[in-house]
Amino acid sequence: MNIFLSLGVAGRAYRSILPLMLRPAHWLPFLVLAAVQYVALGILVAFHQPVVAPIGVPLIRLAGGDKAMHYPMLFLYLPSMYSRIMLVVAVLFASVVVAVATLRFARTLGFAPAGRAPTSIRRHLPTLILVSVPPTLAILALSWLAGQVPTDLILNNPKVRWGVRGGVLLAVVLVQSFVSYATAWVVLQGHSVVAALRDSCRVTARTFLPTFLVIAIPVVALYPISYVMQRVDLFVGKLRPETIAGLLALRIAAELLFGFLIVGAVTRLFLWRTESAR
Amino acid sequence: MKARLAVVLVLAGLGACGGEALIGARYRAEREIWHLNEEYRRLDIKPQLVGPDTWRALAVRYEDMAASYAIAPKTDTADTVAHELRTLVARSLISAAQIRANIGDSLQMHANYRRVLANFQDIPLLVAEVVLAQGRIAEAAQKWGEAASAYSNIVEHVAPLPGDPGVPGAVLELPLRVARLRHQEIVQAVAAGDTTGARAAARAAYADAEQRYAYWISTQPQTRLALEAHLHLADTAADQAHWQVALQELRLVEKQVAGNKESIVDAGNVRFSIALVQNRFAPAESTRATLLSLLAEYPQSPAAPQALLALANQAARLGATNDALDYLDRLRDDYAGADQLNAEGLLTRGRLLERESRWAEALDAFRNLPVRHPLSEPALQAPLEIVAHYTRVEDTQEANAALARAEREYRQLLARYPAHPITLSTRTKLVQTLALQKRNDEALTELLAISDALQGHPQGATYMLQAARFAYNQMDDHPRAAEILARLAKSYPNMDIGRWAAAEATRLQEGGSQ
Repeated sequence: MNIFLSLGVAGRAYRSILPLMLRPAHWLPFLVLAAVQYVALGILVAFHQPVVAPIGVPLIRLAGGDKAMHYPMLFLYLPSMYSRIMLVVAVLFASVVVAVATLRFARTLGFAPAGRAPTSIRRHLPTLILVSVPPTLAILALSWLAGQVPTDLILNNPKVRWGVRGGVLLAVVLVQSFVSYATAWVVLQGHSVVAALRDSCRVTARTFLPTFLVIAIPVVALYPISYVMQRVDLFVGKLRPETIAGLLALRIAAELLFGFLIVGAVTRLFLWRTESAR
Repeated sequence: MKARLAVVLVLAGLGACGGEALIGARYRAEREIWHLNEEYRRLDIKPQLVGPDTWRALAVRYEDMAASYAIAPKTDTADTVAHELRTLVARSLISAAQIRANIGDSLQMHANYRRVLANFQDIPLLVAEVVLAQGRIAEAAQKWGEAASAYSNIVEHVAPLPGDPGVPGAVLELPLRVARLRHQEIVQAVAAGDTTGARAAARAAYADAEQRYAYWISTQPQTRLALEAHLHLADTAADQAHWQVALQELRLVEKQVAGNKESIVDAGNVRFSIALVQNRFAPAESTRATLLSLLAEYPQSPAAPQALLALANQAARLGATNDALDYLDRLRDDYAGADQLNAEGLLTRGRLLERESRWAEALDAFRNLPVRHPLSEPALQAPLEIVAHYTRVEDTQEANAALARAEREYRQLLARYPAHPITLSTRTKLVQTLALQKRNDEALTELLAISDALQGHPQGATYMLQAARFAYNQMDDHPRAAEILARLAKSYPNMDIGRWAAAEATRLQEGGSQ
């Protein structure tokens, strides 16, 4: 599939989702996820408040260590602590939220699997959780690999610096592209973990460019915030450290919108590909 | 069984909550002091533009912070969170005291320092910081003995660590400082009529300083501490006129640092110190030879332009005007970047030429100074040098014209740079110019305006005192002097100078009424 055709397919997938943005019911799963993310961020930032401290202090100690409990060090460690917590949230909670949203999108787009939604999700819960583990581990491995590049080389050589950043970004988009249909296979077709991951890779391989574009466009759109998060030292040194928490809150809001678009567009592509296969 | 388990769990939870509450309090205290420090740094960029009320408000916020997070010392030394929180509180009080000191509120400053000394003995470094500050205050008030005792106390309790930004970084110089302060006490003892005790104390202090430096050198040889201790040992010897010992120490240091680009001590600077020591006891020729060797061996050293200026001054002293001018030419041509030294060099050149009756060239040098080095002390001095020349040759007309020109230049400079580090010096020179023109009222008004601009700062009090003296001595206006002293007392009620001014004002007023 050439790039223009792929762009057209990705564009149509997005366009078919736009009218659904006016239906509040479709937002609900994403709003719940955003609420959980805001609560997690709130606990990290307000860990010192007497009411929050019994949960906040152990959480910070676990995610960032004792040094993260000092001001303004908390804000230096905040992005990494938040990311670590989000990895857990992604496996245990976001996997379920995406499944609920996929089911809703599929029904609205004309695919009506038998049974009630909560029952269907409950039945597939362990599979949904397990299916989200491999991409999470893959992203962790990518971060580890990027961390193996010598710091001096990253600091002194702009080509290496941007090469590593670009490489990691591309690898993350690829990983997400290849597993993007796994949830749909589980919740709409009742696949097992291995079958869902295998078939997701197959669908992506057959619809590579449209899938890659559907995932890449929001990830690239979010990159400026991710980039700024890598320069937290500047915020602590030159601006108010609290700005970092504000940026994370902004990222959650942006992820709410882009999450809606990605899940909707991926469901649309999945239905298009499975219907045409039939 | 279940009930017991529940009680244990609740107690464990409460225990954990106690620790977490302290961690939360430490975090909030860190946040508060961080923002206060940011505010302090922001205001301190141009402190002259900040009024005393703003500073006072900041000090109050530091004091409030200390009050909000004050906790009793824990006997459990492992409780680092409590210790860190107490350190923050003590640091907050020290910052408040520093601000109080800057605005001349010595009562509150002493109160804050006393609180640290009374309540934070478990934090020795901060206690030492307070003692160091108290020593400096005593020194500024010329209470030499008190300052020496404070510094000795620090030397006894804190190990030196050169390069450390805190008290350990200042310890190394303290034994010599103590000895010098004990020596200063001899002057006070002379007034009292008995110097025997003071001389013995000074000798003992120098002996103690030598012992301490020797000890630090022997315990940590080949370290930065040993290197700097050698330099201080040289100073200690030089103070006692033990010139050969001083030279020996300096040569030892130079040998260690020469060719070592990593060293924090510049070999050229050490050679320059050797020249300074030789200048005190050796024939001029040996000093000259050392300075010339410095130029030959360390031409890139920051001491090289200093050496040229020193050579020029030495040649001028010996009457070798042409040699002196040659050195000044080299300073100008080879070290054009050394702005401050070149400004001093040009002033020296002007004075030298004036002394040699080459007035046209001297005038050219003096006139060039404000053009080439506009914001320097020598440039401010140059117009007054011209006035001094015409006064010396009794050319009243030119002297008056030079005074008018000096006044105009100072006023132009003040209009262009109303808030610059050199502004205060310019205003002082303007006062001098007005006084030389016998425009005493204007000079007094300017002096009072300077003190008003420095309102709340100890320097402001000094200028107000200068104004009172001017009114008393130059204008013979005793009621005006009394009035200024009363104003000084009212503006600085918490400073020693304020209390003294109140008594003096009363004395003058009573003298006037009698």
